[in-house]
Amino acid sequence: MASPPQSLTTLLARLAASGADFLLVGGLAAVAQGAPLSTIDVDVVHRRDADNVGKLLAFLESVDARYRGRPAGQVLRPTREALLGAGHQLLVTDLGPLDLLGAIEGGRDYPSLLPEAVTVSVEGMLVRVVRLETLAELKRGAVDAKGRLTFAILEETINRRGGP
Amino acid sequence: MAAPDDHSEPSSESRRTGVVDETLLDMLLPLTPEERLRLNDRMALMIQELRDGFAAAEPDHAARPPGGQRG
Repeated sequence: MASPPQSLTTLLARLAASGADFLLVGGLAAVAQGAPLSTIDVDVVHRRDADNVGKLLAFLESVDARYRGRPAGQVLRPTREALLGAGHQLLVTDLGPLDLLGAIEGGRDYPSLLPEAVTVSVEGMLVRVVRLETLAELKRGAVDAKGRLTFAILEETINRRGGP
Repeated sequence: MAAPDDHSEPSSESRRTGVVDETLLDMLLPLTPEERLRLNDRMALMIQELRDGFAAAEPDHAARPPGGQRG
């Protein structure tokens, strides 16, 4: 069966409209800042407190979020406990794949990444995006081929763009 | 070979020799973040259509792990 049409841009804007605090990271954060990459999911680091997790859960329900990669007929929904933890919740929604990350490389979480974010406008909503220089630092020392390639692309984009 | 005093711009082809396609980078940088995200949406949609097409043509594609070999 064909997958429904996806718009990661709309998924991102809708998440921002929910009022939940999060930072865009990963491939889409790099794309937003000009890196010539392609990605098929939205990666965010969210603020892990009860109030914010409540907003996230309401949003996730509105887009029918469930864990991806499950056998057909075995739908599993994200829980409050999972979103309060540092783990990675790899979900699929009506608008496309969404990864909610409690913490990323080096244990970096929402409070530690927040000072390194810039704000961009997406469908009229303000979205905080971790800056390209920080994304590159997170990939520095990657041992896998994809990570090394991504680091090289981010570095070249930073150099070409000039200045932070 | 270009003369030493040749200051002409390299061709698009010669600029695509590194890790990054500089022609694409030059096209992306002047865009707004939302415009860049929209371009990625189009690419993601194309990838999804390809996946759906393969899955419809041969259902075991979807079940096989990435990089898996045929038996």
